[in-house]
Amino acid sequence: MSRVLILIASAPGAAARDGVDAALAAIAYGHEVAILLVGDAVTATAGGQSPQRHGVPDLSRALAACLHHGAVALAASAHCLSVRGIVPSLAGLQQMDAGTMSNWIGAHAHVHRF
Amino acid sequence: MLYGLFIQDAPTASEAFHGAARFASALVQRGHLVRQIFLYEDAVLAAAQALPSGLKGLDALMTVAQAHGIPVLACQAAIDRLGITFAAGTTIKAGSLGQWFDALHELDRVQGFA
Repeated sequence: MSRVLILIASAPGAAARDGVDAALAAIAYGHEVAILLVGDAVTATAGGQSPQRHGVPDLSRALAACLHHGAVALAASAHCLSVRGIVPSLAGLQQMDAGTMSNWIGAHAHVHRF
Repeated sequence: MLYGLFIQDAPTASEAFHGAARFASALVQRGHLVRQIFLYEDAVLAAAQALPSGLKGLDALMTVAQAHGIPVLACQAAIDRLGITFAAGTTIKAGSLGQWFDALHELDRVQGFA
Protein backbone atom coordinates (compact mmCIF):
# COMPACT_ATOMS: atom_id res chain seq x y z
CA MET A 1 0.00 0.00 0.00
CA SER A 2 1.22 3.47 -0.88
CA ARG A 3 0.04 6.87 0.23
CA VAL A 4 -1.36 8.37 -2.97
CA LEU A 5 -2.38 12.00 -3.36
CA ILE A 6 -4.72 12.94 -6.18
CA LEU A 7 -4.08 16.63 -6.82
CA ILE A 8 -6.83 18.24 -8.89
CA ALA A 9 -6.02 21.70 -10.22
CA SER A 10 -8.39 22.05 -13.15
CA ALA A 11 -11.93 23.41 -13.08
CA PRO A 12 -14.74 20.84 -12.93
CA GLY A 13 -14.61 19.08 -16.29
CA ALA A 14 -13.08 16.10 -18.02
CA ALA A 15 -9.64 16.31 -16.38
CA ALA A 16 -11.08 16.70 -12.90
CA ARG A 17 -13.40 13.74 -13.47
CA ASP A 18 -10.40 11.70 -14.63
CA GLY A 19 -8.81 12.58 -11.29
CA VAL A 20 -11.84 11.25 -9.42
CA ASP A 21 -11.74 8.05 -11.50
CA ALA A 22 -8.06 7.66 -10.63
CA ALA A 23 -8.82 8.20 -6.93
CA LEU A 24 -11.52 5.53 -6.96
CA ALA A 25 -9.25 3.07 -8.79
CA ALA A 26 -6.42 3.69 -6.32
CA ILE A 27 -8.80 3.09 -3.39
CA ALA A 28 -10.04 -0.11 -5.02
CA TYR A 29 -6.46 -1.37 -5.26
CA GLY A 30 -5.78 -0.86 -1.60
CA HIS A 31 -3.89 2.42 -1.53
CA GLU A 32 -4.35 5.12 1.07
CA VAL A 33 -5.80 7.91 -1.04
CA ALA A 34 -6.23 11.59 -0.29
CA ILE A 35 -7.56 14.27 -2.61
CA LEU A 36 -6.43 17.88 -2.72
CA LEU A 37 -8.21 20.61 -4.68
CA VAL A 38 -6.25 23.67 -5.73
CA GLY A 39 -6.72 26.41 -8.30
CA ASP A 40 -10.01 26.37 -10.18
CA ALA A 41 -10.79 22.88 -8.89
CA VAL A 42 -12.01 24.44 -5.65
CA THR A 43 -15.11 25.69 -7.50
CA ALA A 44 -16.41 22.12 -7.22
CA THR A 45 -16.91 22.68 -3.49
CA ALA A 46 -19.39 25.53 -3.86
CA GLY A 47 -22.99 24.75 -3.05
CA GLY A 48 -26.08 25.40 -5.12
CA GLN A 49 -24.73 24.11 -8.41
CA SER A 50 -26.77 21.90 -10.73
CA PRO A 51 -24.39 20.80 -13.49
CA GLN A 52 -26.52 17.76 -14.27
CA ARG A 53 -29.21 20.10 -15.61
CA HIS A 54 -26.76 20.90 -18.39
CA GLY A 55 -25.75 17.31 -18.97
CA VAL A 56 -22.51 17.65 -17.02
CA PRO A 57 -21.64 15.15 -14.27
CA ASP A 58 -21.69 16.58 -10.75
CA LEU A 59 -18.07 16.65 -9.59
CA SER A 60 -18.95 17.59 -6.01
CA ARG A 61 -21.04 14.44 -5.65
CA ALA A 62 -18.22 12.38 -7.16
CA LEU A 63 -15.79 13.87 -4.64
CA ALA A 64 -18.16 13.10 -1.79
CA ALA A 65 -18.40 9.55 -3.13
CA CYS A 66 -14.62 9.22 -2.86
CA LEU A 67 -14.86 9.88 0.88
CA HIS A 68 -17.69 7.37 1.12
CA HIS A 69 -15.63 4.75 -0.71
CA GLY A 70 -12.59 5.14 1.48
CA ALA A 71 -10.53 8.21 0.64
CA VAL A 72 -8.82 9.19 3.89
CA ALA A 73 -9.08 12.93 3.30
CA LEU A 74 -10.53 15.54 0.98
CA ALA A 75 -8.94 18.95 1.25
CA ALA A 76 -8.91 22.27 -0.56
CA SER A 77 -6.57 25.22 -0.56
CA ALA A 78 -7.97 27.84 1.81
CA HIS A 79 -6.26 30.56 -0.22
CA CYS A 80 -7.79 29.36 -3.53
CA LEU A 81 -11.23 29.29 -1.89
CA SER A 82 -10.77 32.72 -0.37
CA VAL A 83 -9.63 34.52 -3.52
CA ARG A 84 -12.62 33.09 -5.40
CA GLY A 85 -15.05 34.06 -2.63
CA ILE A 86 -16.21 30.47 -2.23
CA VAL A 87 -17.67 29.20 1.01
CA PRO A 88 -17.49 25.44 0.56
CA SER A 89 -20.53 23.33 1.30
CA LEU A 90 -18.97 19.94 0.63
CA ALA A 91 -19.28 17.69 3.68
CA GLY A 92 -16.00 16.41 5.07
CA LEU A 93 -13.85 18.97 3.26
CA GLN A 94 -10.76 20.24 5.08
CA GLN A 95 -9.37 23.68 4.31
CA MET A 96 -5.59 23.92 4.31
CA ASP A 97 -3.19 26.82 4.41
CA ALA A 98 -0.10 26.80 2.20
CA GLY A 99 2.29 25.52 4.86
CA THR A 100 0.07 22.63 5.90
CA MET A 101 -0.57 21.78 2.26
CA SER A 102 3.14 21.71 1.48
CA ASN A 103 3.89 19.32 4.34
CA TRP A 104 0.90 17.18 3.44
CA ILE A 105 1.96 16.82 -0.20
CA GLY A 106 5.46 15.86 0.92
CA ALA A 107 4.06 13.13 3.15
CA HIS A 108 2.65 11.22 0.19
CA ALA A 109 4.70 8.66 -1.71
CA HIS A 110 3.03 9.35 -5.03
CA VAL A 111 1.24 12.42 -6.36
CA HIS A 112 -0.95 12.33 -9.47
CA ARG A 113 -1.96 15.71 -10.87
CA PHE A 114 -5.08 16.39 -12.93
CA MET B 1 14.88 1.60 -8.45
CA LEU B 2 11.65 0.59 -10.09
CA TYR B 3 9.86 3.38 -11.94
CA GLY B 4 6.50 3.93 -13.59
CA LEU B 5 5.72 6.69 -16.08
CA PHE B 6 2.26 8.25 -16.30
CA ILE B 7 1.53 10.33 -19.42
CA GLN B 8 -1.55 12.53 -19.76
CA ASP B 9 -1.03 14.82 -22.76
CA ALA B 10 -1.69 13.95 -26.40
CA PRO B 11 1.36 12.98 -28.47
CA THR B 12 0.56 15.85 -30.81
CA ALA B 13 0.05 18.52 -28.16
CA SER B 14 3.10 18.92 -25.99
CA GLU B 15 6.55 17.75 -25.02
CA ALA B 16 5.14 15.05 -22.74
CA PHE B 17 6.13 12.13 -24.96
CA HIS B 18 9.54 13.64 -25.72
CA GLY B 19 10.15 14.10 -22.02
CA ALA B 20 8.98 10.62 -21.14
CA ALA B 21 11.21 9.09 -23.84
CA ARG B 22 14.27 10.98 -22.64
CA PHE B 23 13.50 10.18 -19.01
CA ALA B 24 12.96 6.46 -19.68
CA SER B 25 16.16 6.30 -21.70
CA ALA B 26 18.15 8.01 -18.94
CA LEU B 27 16.70 5.67 -16.32
CA VAL B 28 17.67 2.47 -18.09
CA GLN B 29 21.12 3.86 -18.91
CA ARG B 30 21.66 4.38 -15.17
CA GLY B 31 20.55 0.86 -14.32
CA HIS B 32 17.02 1.57 -13.16
CA LEU B 33 14.01 -0.40 -14.33
CA VAL B 34 10.81 0.97 -15.83
CA ARG B 35 7.95 -1.35 -14.92
CA GLN B 36 5.17 0.30 -16.93
CA ILE B 37 4.31 3.31 -19.06
CA PHE B 38 0.66 4.22 -18.63
CA LEU B 39 -1.23 6.49 -21.03
CA TYR B 40 -4.24 8.31 -19.60
CA GLU B 41 -6.56 11.11 -20.75
CA ASP B 42 -5.49 12.49 -24.17
CA ALA B 43 -2.26 10.46 -24.16
CA VAL B 44 -4.24 7.41 -25.28
CA LEU B 45 -4.40 9.06 -28.72
CA ALA B 46 -0.96 7.51 -29.17
CA ALA B 47 -2.74 4.24 -29.94
CA ALA B 48 -5.14 5.76 -32.46
CA GLN B 49 -5.39 4.67 -36.04
CA ALA B 50 -5.97 8.22 -37.26
CA LEU B 51 -2.73 9.75 -36.05
CA PRO B 52 -0.24 11.65 -38.17
CA SER B 53 3.00 9.81 -38.78
CA GLY B 54 6.39 11.19 -37.81
CA LEU B 55 5.55 12.16 -34.23
CA LYS B 56 9.09 12.16 -32.91
CA GLY B 57 8.22 12.06 -29.23
CA LEU B 58 5.91 9.08 -29.65
CA ASP B 59 8.36 7.29 -31.94
CA ALA B 60 11.18 7.84 -29.46
CA LEU B 61 9.11 6.55 -26.56
CA MET B 62 8.02 3.42 -28.41
CA THR B 63 11.61 2.77 -29.48
CA VAL B 64 12.83 2.93 -25.87
CA ALA B 65 9.92 0.81 -24.67
CA GLN B 66 10.49 -1.90 -27.28
CA ALA B 67 14.25 -1.94 -26.78
CA HIS B 68 13.88 -2.55 -23.05
CA GLY B 69 10.67 -4.58 -22.97
CA ILE B 70 8.67 -1.91 -21.16
CA PRO B 71 4.91 -2.44 -21.49
CA VAL B 72 2.95 0.59 -22.71
CA LEU B 73 -0.68 0.55 -21.62
CA ALA B 74 -3.46 2.89 -22.74
CA CYS B 75 -6.44 3.38 -20.43
CA GLN B 76 -9.45 1.58 -21.91
CA ALA B 77 -11.94 3.99 -20.33
CA ALA B 78 -10.16 6.97 -21.90
CA ILE B 79 -10.06 5.13 -25.23
CA ASP B 80 -13.80 4.56 -25.05
CA ARG B 81 -14.49 8.19 -24.12
CA LEU B 82 -12.50 9.43 -27.12
CA GLY B 83 -13.91 6.78 -29.47
CA ILE B 84 -10.49 5.64 -30.59
CA THR B 85 -9.87 2.80 -33.00
CA PHE B 86 -6.56 1.10 -32.26
CA ALA B 87 -3.93 1.40 -34.98
CA ALA B 88 -3.03 -1.86 -36.69
CA GLY B 89 0.32 -3.15 -35.53
CA THR B 90 0.71 -0.87 -32.54
CA THR B 91 2.50 -2.40 -29.58
CA ILE B 92 0.45 -0.30 -27.18
CA LYS B 93 -1.98 -2.47 -25.23
CA ALA B 94 -5.33 -1.51 -23.78
CA GLY B 95 -5.18 -1.46 -20.01
CA SER B 96 -7.00 -0.11 -16.99
CA LEU B 97 -6.33 2.30 -14.20
CA GLY B 98 -6.45 -0.80 -12.03
CA GLN B 99 -3.34 -2.15 -13.73
CA TRP B 100 -1.56 1.12 -13.03
CA PHE B 101 -2.55 1.25 -9.37
CA ASP B 102 -1.82 -2.46 -8.97
CA ALA B 103 1.69 -1.86 -10.31
CA LEU B 104 2.03 1.08 -7.93
CA HIS B 105 2.36 -1.41 -5.05
CA GLU B 106 5.76 -2.40 -6.47
CA LEU B 107 7.02 0.94 -7.76
CA ASP B 108 9.58 3.01 -5.93
CA ARG B 109 8.92 6.15 -7.96
CA VAL B 110 6.37 7.41 -10.44
CA GLN B 111 6.88 10.30 -12.81
CA GLY B 112 4.05 12.13 -14.54
CA PHE B 113 4.23 13.87 -17.92
CA ALA B 114 1.44 16.31 -18.71
